[in-house]
Amino acid sequence: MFKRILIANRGEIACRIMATCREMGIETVAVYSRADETAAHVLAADRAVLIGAADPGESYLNQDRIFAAAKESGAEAIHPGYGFLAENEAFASRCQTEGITFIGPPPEAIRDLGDKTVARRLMLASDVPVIPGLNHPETDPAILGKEAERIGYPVLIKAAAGGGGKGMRVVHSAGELAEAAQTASREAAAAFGNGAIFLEKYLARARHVEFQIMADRQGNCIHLLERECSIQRRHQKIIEETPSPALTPALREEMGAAAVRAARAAGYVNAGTVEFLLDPDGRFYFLEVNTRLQVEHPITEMVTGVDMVREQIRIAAGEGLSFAQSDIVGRGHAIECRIYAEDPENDFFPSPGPIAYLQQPQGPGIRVDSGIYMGAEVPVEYDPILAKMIVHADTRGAAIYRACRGLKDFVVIGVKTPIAFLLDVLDHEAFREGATFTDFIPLHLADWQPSLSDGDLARMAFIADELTPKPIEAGAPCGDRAPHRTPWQTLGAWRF
Amino acid sequence: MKYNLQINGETDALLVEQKDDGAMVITAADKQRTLSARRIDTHRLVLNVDGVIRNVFLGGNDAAKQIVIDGVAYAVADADAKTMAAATAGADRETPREVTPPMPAVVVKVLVALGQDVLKGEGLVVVSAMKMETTLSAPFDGRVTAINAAEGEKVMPGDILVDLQSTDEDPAGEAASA
Repeated sequence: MFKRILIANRGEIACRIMATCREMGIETVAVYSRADETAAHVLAADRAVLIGAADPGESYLNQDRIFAAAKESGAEAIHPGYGFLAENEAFASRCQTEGITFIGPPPEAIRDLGDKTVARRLMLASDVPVIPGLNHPETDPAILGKEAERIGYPVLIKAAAGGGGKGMRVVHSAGELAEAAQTASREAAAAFGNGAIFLEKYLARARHVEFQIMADRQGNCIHLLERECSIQRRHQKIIEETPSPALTPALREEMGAAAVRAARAAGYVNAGTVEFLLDPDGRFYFLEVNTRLQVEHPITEMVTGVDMVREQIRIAAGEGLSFAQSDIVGRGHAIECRIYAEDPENDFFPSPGPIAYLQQPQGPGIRVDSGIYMGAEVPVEYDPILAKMIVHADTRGAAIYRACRGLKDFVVIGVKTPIAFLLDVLDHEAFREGATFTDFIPLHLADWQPSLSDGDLARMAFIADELTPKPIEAGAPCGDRAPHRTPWQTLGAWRF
Repeated sequence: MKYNLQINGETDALLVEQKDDGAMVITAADKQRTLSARRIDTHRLVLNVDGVIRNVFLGGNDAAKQIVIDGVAYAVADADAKTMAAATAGADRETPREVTPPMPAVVVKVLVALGQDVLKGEGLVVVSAMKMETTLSAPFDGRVTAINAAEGEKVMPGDILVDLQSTDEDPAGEAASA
């Protein structure tokens, strides 16, 4: 087993990976940029190495500096988290040449599945249904236009090299195609270092259902059930749950088997996710494979009882899977809410800054994976995810109530978060009924504004804040100020 | 004491009477409530309103506070405060009149040319921040009188990327240096 692991990431996922390492008695090495000198993941590590300036290219994406940090710290393995270098084939290959174990799939699997068009071809050969579209990258607007005409609008332009909503554009008509392709390609280049795009039919009314798979080096491959991730804003997931309200046991078995077939076809090892789109008629189509640990993995952990990072580390160290397919049984219902530093009243624009106050929810069935603490600074340079709140309960209904309780107890002052928006999603009749398709947000919450039902209380709170003395700040200057607060200081603004 | 407090454009008048025991009797629109407060933290008060305990969390400044109650954030502004205009700049929901990025960003593409006439809502500059692209649009009908940003340039909030002269039919004669 590894003695020391370097985590090539930051924020909540780096903290979460380190937690399992600590439980396994494995020393952790953090890498950090100048913007993250006192970030949560640095404070949580056994050792930390400064690797460069804030810009990701100078730090978290800088392979030379990361390998230098690994050598310097004596790390035997690297966990890449998600994003950054997690699906970078060159990085995984270089780990091999540098003699450091990459905690993830083989570079060939990353290469094949990382190119969404190659992945489509692999699936076709393995009898896994795919969405109509191009099986190779294409930027020529004339060729894209021809394919769009063939499969019929609306179509979806996607990045060949990555996901997370970046480099994606829905196109409803031929007139929009060229501009959309250009923007998508630019965004993809910025996010993944590769501007290659392709095109698929856009299924407007579908559910995003993905299956977690796990494979060891001994040839065992199983799935750990599904996750429904249909609540998305601009193709970025914000609420995920398991089990999916739409899956029957038969469909679960069929899709699970297809997911395992897909993983085997690619020679997959370690953790991965096979994403499908499920149309309202119960037909499913392969979307893509994510060759990494995913943001929403905790909901699978809650219902299966498996620590996926632990399995990842064991597999990377050459050990076999801890369980067989028949051991994987889902219990209860889990929901995850992603807490981003974004302003839901201003088009979800990123909201960086210092966190003046933080209260994270706790109590029965609540797990918070967090990358922040009170007093921390949220930098502008990175993905704005602050934390994930995951709840687990006996039933879907109980899980929804638990999630609402948790969100109301989740207080962040200093940066804006979409907590009020998430509460309104969970409260929505369609969500409660399980009618969750990928058009949920545009359909039900398009022009969302918060319902300010406690305005009276907010006004009273304003007054109470002014009239209730604040604690004297440490280090207040002497001289002008008396050592004891005088009425002149506590009076506040004059009013009659 | 009288307060005029505004939320989302709506101002309510509240009268406050402080009792000897520290409780506050607050009258608003003929409704009277008794409120006591204990401070837990600079950013947290526990209120007791007519016997019911409510926790409220606060940020912002003296004239414009951000108050979080049960997950919802309220921007409460003091309508009497002199600095209200500056204080609520971030809190109000009106469209900004300036073509400036809301956060540090990199210019990806300038969509207009010098002298070009644009309509309100038309895209002017594409910027990239936190890995997403956003288009800054014209806050009003106007003519581009200056372009102050170049592709690849890093820009900060407050930097005016495009100067726009209003061509609105406006009796106030507004010519905004946007």
